[in-house]
Amino acid sequence: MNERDLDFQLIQRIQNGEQQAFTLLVRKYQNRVANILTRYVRSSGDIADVTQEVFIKVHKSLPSFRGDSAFYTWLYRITVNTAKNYLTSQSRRPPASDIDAMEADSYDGSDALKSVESPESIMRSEEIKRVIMETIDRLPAELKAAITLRELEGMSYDEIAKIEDCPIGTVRSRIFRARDAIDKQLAPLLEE
Amino acid sequence: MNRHSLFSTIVASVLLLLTPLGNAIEVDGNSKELVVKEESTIPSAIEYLQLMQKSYQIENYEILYLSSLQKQLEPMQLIHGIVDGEEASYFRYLNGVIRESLQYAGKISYFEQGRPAYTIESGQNRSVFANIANFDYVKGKQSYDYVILGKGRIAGKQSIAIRMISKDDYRYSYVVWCDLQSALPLRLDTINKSNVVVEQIMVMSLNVSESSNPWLAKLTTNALPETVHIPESTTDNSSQWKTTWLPTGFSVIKDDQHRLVMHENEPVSYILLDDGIVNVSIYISEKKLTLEEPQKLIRRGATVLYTEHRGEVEINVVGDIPVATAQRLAESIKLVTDDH
Amino acid sequence: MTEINEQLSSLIDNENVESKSLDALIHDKEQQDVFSRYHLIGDVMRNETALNIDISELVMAEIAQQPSLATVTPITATVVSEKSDNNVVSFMKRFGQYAIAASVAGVVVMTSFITSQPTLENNGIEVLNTVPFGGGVSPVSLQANKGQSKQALQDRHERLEALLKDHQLQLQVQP
Repeated sequence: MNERDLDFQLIQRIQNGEQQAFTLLVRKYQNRVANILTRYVRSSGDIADVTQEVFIKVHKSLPSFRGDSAFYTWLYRITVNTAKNYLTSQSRRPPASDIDAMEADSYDGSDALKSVESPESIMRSEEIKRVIMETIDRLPAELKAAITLRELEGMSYDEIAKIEDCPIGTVRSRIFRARDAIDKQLAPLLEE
Repeated sequence: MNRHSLFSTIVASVLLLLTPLGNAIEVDGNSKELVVKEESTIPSAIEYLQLMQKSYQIENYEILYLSSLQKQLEPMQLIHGIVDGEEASYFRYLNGVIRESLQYAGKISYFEQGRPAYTIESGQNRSVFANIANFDYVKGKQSYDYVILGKGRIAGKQSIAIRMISKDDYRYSYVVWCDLQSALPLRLDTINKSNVVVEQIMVMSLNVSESSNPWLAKLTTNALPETVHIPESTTDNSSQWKTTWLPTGFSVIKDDQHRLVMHENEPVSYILLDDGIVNVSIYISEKKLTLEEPQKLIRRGATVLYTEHRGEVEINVVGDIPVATAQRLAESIKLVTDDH
Repeated sequence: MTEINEQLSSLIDNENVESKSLDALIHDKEQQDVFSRYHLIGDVMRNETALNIDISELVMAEIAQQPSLATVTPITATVVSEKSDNNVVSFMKRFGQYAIAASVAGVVVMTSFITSQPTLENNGIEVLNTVPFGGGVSPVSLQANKGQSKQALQDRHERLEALLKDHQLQLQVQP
């Protein structure tokens, strides 16, 4: 973990007693954790509960987190363990295709085991996805390239700058403009 | 009842209903002839009702409707369609907390924001107009007269109003409005014996389509929430209490002892009555409520909850029936002495 | 605003070490919402949103109740102890769910009670109102008798509600 890493910065803050920083770890990872849980937990109401349990557990174990692996790998392991505990408590067997924590960063979520959701919430999340994807499609080519390289390929600004042959500051600005444009469409959808 | 007297009843009722509208109709042989003539050319009241009933089951439609009772309006939506040869219906409340249900292939799933969703096995269609859509109108002739009231416009559609007049005071009367084109129900008024509308369902928008809503088909393929099994009631242990009086058309369709799972697992003796349109539940239990008077009543729209105390025994009657019926049913409850 | 959000954007990408940006984020709810949405965009692009949830406030509320960070008790311990309660409770818990069947079926459900204080307007009588789902308030023509405590009324209504719900359930499951 390097010092630029947001997770690293956040964990340092929390370990120094700034509890509020934990909300950012939750906000950052809650959807990914919930997504992992859909492979184990069938009911959407339970997914929210188990996700919550995962983060409480993370919070409790955080003092012992050494940072010798990426935070996400650690989080992934806790998520899978919590899911297995949940299944045991539900006296159901975990799915046969167990995914190892090592595969955490590369695992491609399958659509086969999506959770049970209420019809209206399905409609809502589909609407959110549709709006995001459509806005990305309509972005100017250079903005689209920048955000895609960042979000899908996980490249750093430096790497993107080399590929796109432009200054790092430009990459930074393009990614922000892409996010800002999508956010303008997204924010009203999420307002209750 | 012979043909002639039934006929006179209908004519009399028509006149009764038309008179307030100011139509001067002479009571003589001519008006009888007029009605007879109409009966042979256009569908009769009962035929309209039967058409409505069929459409409600087989058509693909979406309705937005309001339920109104005691000055309170509740907007709701129903999407109905035939998916792979089976009825599917999706229902939701449009205001407030998200509450939805999906019924398909013998199962109904309930979803409510902030609570775990679940499924129960049920082939019972209990959607908005289901009670009038499932009614056996031929059999119902013993309890109701069916009369065409006239035509009107509901939800932008030409519709026909049919009144189901109760032959006694033990049940409510209804006015059913059906779309002339699709025959689907558009409005249902529940009326007490003083001709006051106690509850009303009013469709605001009706959309009938050739094929079912694709979204509905998609919903039926989604994984359902966990099925919850209802605890078996003790069937060998039927209620020790019996009704000694039933209004015409009602019969006992269930009689058991079970527990109120929503309330401390309290054991109750239970009798369920049915007349094809409404159901009435009678609960006999230990005295639990503290009442100042020997009886107590809660009424909301057409629904009544009537409580009576008899010593240490408490009788509760619940259903969409007039108060007098609930009262008489409660009074009729007797303990069956075990003599075998 | 734009400048702040651009700082935020680079912070998310691990390209920003300015502690000011992080300070702003930790203490500003609006910034946190933007933060969540920027992450949601990435999650959607990577197809990592099976469902879109926000449990951050629930988690923070629960953490605030935890005694201290130092005592690391495995969470499974508390979960197990809850589950090992006697059977009746779990049975009740499970079937309490039927509440929805009734509410979704559109029944009279007295979910909560508002007891308005005796005022001149209602002749000094305490009126018990039911609040059915949907928001409207309709009085049920019940009044508290002098001898009855609020708790007694509440208990009584819980039971009446249970009867109404059972009635709905019986109708739904009849053969």
